[in-house]
Amino acid sequence: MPTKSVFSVVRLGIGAVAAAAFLAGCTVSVADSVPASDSASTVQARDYVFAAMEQRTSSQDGEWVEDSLDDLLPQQEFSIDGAAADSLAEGIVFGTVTNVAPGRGYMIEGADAAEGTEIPFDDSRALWRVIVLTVKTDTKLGDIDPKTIEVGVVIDGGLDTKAARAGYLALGRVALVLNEPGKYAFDDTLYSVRQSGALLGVVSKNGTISFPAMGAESTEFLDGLDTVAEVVAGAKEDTEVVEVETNGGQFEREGE
Amino acid sequence: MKTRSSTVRSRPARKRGIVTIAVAVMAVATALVATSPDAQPAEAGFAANSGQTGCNGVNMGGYVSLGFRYLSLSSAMTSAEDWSRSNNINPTDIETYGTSAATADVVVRDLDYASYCGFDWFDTRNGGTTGLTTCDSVLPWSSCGQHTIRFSTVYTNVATTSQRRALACHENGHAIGLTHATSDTTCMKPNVVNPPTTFNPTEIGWINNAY
Repeated sequence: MPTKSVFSVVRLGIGAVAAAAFLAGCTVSVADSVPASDSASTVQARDYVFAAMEQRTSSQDGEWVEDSLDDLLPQQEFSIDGAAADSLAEGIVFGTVTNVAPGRGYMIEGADAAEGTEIPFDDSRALWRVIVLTVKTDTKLGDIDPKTIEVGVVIDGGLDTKAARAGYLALGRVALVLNEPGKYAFDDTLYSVRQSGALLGVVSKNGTISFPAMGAESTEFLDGLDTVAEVVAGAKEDTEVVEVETNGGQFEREGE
Repeated sequence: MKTRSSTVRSRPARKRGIVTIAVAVMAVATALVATSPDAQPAEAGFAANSGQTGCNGVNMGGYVSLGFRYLSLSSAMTSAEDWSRSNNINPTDIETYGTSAATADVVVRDLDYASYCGFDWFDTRNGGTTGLTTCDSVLPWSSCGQHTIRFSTVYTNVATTSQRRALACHENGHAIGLTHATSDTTCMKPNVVNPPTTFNPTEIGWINNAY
């Protein structure tokens, strides 16, 4: 019978291999779309953020009004329980991350709390942090006017913030489905990314979109709007209003 | 061959004297070998011993016998959790039991969460996060020492019995190492309005191989 120390060392080794395999598994589908011309350091920086983005959404479940990216196009409006029809997102933009700046850290006081207490960005007690991406847009759909916008993005408290900064700067062309500003009290002009940040996507050189945080579900969510050109074309279609009734924990669409 | 024990595994207790400590350490080591999960390589759908912690939580539980502690949990989600443990987990090679110990393997609670861990939690006009499983501490072999499952009461107060059971199944699945699925045959597919309330046979196979 092994001693506890030997046992622990063996377990640690196996765990490390398993963790590495898990991280590798998280990034396979997205890494495959990374252009071969990018440097190894760029790919490594990007993969770090891709893995972090997927891990962030991998342990939660949710339910949203939208079923696909098509539902978030600006001309697609929803009337929920008879309220005035409106689009679900503030807009969709494509562009490049030109700067990454620290925002705030958040901790939980006591055993549990509905929301976090704001603390300095570098505070080691932070359970999660918000970083601020400056995005120079090249294509804008919806109610977003400025050519350069600032977007708050949540990262986990355990993430290496320097590696995260490098990773976001290495993303290349990005796709962002944005909520209206106001989520973050420390700067109410910041946009936030819909679905808890999951709808921060990347655009390959041929214009194909993917959402790394969604992992294998990204393709199903895109549901045919796979490229920037297809999204732009979709946004030019006539306004459509979808009637939705909330029934228990469900969003039921009229006619379905 | 690993046998399933019906007794709750022991944890280290404070003892006096070096000999006593040494004996206790050996006893704990023996207990760990007998009851901790077999390490399995990660694969799509199963995280194995990922070492994840913080706002992430997809990580195997530390033992084949897992203590669940309900804290400030509504009666509706207590019923759903009980149902999921009896119908989803206990039929596998993992057994669960209720406990009031602070060292419980899985803590379950609910609240009208607004921004916990930076997520957009469920609201009745927009949708959002309905449940979250985090790992609060990691054991030396990278399994999770304690998971916490959180449910949104804004969602569970309006959800049907089936939806609550499916949500409990989903989060319990994370607490034993299952990751999101793309298949419609399991509660582990995320963001589904009326998902199944069970794991699928493939997932059950992963669980039984790992624990």
